[in-house]
Amino acid sequence: MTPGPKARELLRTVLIVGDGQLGVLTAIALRRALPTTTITVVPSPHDAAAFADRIGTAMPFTNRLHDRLGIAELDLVQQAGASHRLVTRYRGWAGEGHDDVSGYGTGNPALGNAFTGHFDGVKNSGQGADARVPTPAAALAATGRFCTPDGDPNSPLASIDYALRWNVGAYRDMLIAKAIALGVVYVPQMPVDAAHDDHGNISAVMLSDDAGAITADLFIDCSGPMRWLMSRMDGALLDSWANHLPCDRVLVAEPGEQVLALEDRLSVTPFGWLAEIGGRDGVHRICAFPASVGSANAEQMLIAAGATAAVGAAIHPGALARPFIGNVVALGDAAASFEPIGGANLDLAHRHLALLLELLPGRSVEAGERDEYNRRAGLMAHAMRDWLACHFAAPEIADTPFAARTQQLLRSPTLALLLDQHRRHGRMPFFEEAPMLPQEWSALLRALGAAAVPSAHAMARPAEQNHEALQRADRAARTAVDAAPPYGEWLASVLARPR
Amino acid sequence: MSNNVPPPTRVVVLGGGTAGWMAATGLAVMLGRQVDVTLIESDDIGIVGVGEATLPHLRSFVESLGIDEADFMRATHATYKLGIDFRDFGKIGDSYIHPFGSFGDEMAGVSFHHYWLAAQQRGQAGPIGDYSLGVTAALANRFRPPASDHSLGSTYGYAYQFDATLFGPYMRNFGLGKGVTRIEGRVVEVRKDSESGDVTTLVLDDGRHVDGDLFVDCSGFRSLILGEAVGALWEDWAHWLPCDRAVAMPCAAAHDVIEPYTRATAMPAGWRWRIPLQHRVGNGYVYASDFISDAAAADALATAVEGAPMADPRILKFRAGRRKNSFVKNVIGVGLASGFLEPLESTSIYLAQMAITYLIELFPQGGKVEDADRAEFNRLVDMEYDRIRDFLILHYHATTRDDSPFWDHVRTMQIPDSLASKMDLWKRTGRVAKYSEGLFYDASWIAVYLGQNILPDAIDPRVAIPDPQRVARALSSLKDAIGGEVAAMPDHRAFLYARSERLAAQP
Repeated sequence: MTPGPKARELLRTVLIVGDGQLGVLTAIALRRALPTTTITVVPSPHDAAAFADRIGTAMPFTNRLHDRLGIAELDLVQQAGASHRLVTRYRGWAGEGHDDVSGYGTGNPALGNAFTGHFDGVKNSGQGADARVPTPAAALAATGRFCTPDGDPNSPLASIDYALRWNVGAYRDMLIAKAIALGVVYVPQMPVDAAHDDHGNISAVMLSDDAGAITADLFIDCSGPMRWLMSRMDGALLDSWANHLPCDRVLVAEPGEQVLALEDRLSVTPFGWLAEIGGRDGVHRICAFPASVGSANAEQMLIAAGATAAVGAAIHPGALARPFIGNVVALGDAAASFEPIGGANLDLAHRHLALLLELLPGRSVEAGERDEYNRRAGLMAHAMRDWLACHFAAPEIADTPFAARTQQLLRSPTLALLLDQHRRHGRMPFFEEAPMLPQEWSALLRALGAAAVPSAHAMARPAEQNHEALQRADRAARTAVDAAPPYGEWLASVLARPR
Repeated sequence: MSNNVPPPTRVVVLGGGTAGWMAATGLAVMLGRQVDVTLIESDDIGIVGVGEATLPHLRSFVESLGIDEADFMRATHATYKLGIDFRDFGKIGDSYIHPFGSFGDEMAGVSFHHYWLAAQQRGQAGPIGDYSLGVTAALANRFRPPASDHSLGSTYGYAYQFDATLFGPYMRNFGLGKGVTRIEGRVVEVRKDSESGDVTTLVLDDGRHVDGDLFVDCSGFRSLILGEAVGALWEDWAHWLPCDRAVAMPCAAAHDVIEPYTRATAMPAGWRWRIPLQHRVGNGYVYASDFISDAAAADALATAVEGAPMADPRILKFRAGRRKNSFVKNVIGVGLASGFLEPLESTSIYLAQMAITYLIELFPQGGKVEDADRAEFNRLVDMEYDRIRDFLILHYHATTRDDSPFWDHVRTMQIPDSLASKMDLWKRTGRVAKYSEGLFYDASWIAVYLGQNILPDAIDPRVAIPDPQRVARALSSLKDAIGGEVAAMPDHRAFLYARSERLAAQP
């Protein structure tokens, strides 16, 4: 053998602290990537603010991660109560009576990127278009029709991207069965202490009930915002988002009545925001609010929406400046803790997990790859912070106790840039590692009622060309509706298939 | 249509070279009636006409203007380009192709090059280029446009090699047909508003005044408006990229083969380009005047070229760097007026194109320029320049050559921190620092690192997981599939000649 690049020694042992849906999926992902490595999971103390574990929904990225990890969507539908969210309906964000939707993906492909979102401006310039043309996803959600695209690139449904919601308990059970089948080791004892080596790395985690200690090369903190492992590491500093995001209290209600919906709702109220997630196991209602408005008002908000009992959680919004320190990686709410909008907590957790898989270290961690992980993970987290902050910045919410809080928020330079570019040019800058496509970001801002002037380029397009594009878009939406069965019928047919 | 349509923004483009006509035409076509575009040029001022080789991005520019590819290729004597063949860079005798395209696919989430590095050490892999369709097709002198699906046939891209002195005039003809007003004249004075400092008027040598709302400076290295009149400061990069001159000499084609790639051959004081066009070959020597005289460079070029020279050697002077800001007041620099990076990776026309594209995206509606748009334009332009700069420096720094003072200098010089950290990550882990905006992503960095013998000390641990024989079989079946694709491709010249609309008349 000639001297040259050496394959580094594989990780021999990994310990994951936290056995919620994130910890178990992390174990599956690592075991698949490293089939000869011992992957052990231990539980962590309950943390009510561990939203990546407690909330059963994510964003479209998770579907692709599931695919990669051999977790079939069909199984999720059959065994974990999964259903599809095509759009989110925003209510009240742009004033009383405001109601609009946005979805995922590049929007209406028939319109092309530059044109999407310029309906209003083009209409105002006298170029026609009486009504806004819905995207295919919005048209499907409005008519209650959908089935998952069958993989044919020419299908009218092929361009539709969606998120799943599921029953957390059933999903976690399904993941546990897969993890066990893959040979992941589960030790049901709580961690009580950690030992460090001379370099400040964690060398072992001691377990309760005198169950001994588990040593590992790499430790992964999936314990939620308590940061069971990270709180034992020097240099784990929280970059606070308290000035960027308004809510530090969250109430998660017991599931309500069963529904079958292709949309979820996110409403703003005088005291905070209210999410209604249409799970097949019942509507999940979550509200978030600043402590300053008082929890009594927030509870009223939930009760008015139809919820009964709820569990409260306090959060300190922010992200670890370095989520990978020494031989410890924080994932999920341990890496970044924030108000749970639209499956964002689990989406960010899964993106960080995918980044860890890409930059998976050997037995010894190179400082440079840790830096690269932290650089990219930080870009993802910051873009997520800006995405969430958009909700409270565009346009400003009317005069309420909640508004009194949102109006005090600071805008990061990147948020200020994107809001200004959207408003004056209908343009969305590209942000490296951002969890959302620029088109998804533009669509969110429009759905929240943030007006955009069409770009000069869009204004230059001849009226006939715009008219044709609108007609194509309209056709694409109608073709999608024609191609899809009623969602309930399709779901029943899927559930009737043998497992 | 409506009574309150604002009057068009008056855009004045100074300079009738490649950048000037690209800018004037791009703005006129993409912004339509919102602009009134005037271009001032003088027949007395020569154009540099850099950039005989291009990047795939030019195709979308040409296409979005509504230009027919075949007509454009005929007018500029264009050939197809699959990449650049770099010779003698890492050390004398080396040769590698940096393709528009990728090498292999990732396996189990690990990039192809990690498996390749491991297999190569076991003697179970050929050169990295064997696993790139773009490289293999280039070396076989074959070409057809890539497939638009997700098959192997879609894993490469193409650009053009053309006569830069014909591209500007082609854009001029096209732009004149799209409503650009051309004024012949030489600017003798730039008048500014005394309060705002904005440029208001260009005064010509015959006394005419050209007023405008927005001024696009395409005056070349002189940077007459951006540099001289509004005083945009220069950030000099000569300490990293010391080449400051080029001697160019077109030659007759010495043989029938038209290579679908540009060649860059390292020379004792710089490097030499060779760009095959339809009926001739462009040649030039980019050199550092601190290390070689003009006469010696011209002699070296004359000795190296293959065909009969068609013109006397022509010397161009330049300097690597960029304006600290390319959008100042109401003046936007495009092309050489904004900055310069030597054409080692054929980026000159791209740099003009990207500035024009960003200007269109950020175009001030109603003629009033906002500070935020200037800042955004400058952020984007700096990002583009800085990323290309680091990539170019890599070509010089990643070498073991110690045969001349020039190579001693670039091999041992202090490189930018941004490049040093990228190289360090590669050396220690075989990973490429990732970005997705601007030019040159993972595959490009991998091509140059490996092509110039910068091997990582360690690679992804997961390459040890699969059975080496299985990896060897996968590599060999990829190589065979690529070989099969290339065998089915037409010869580059044959493809070019298959449609007469593409062909320029024989000189």
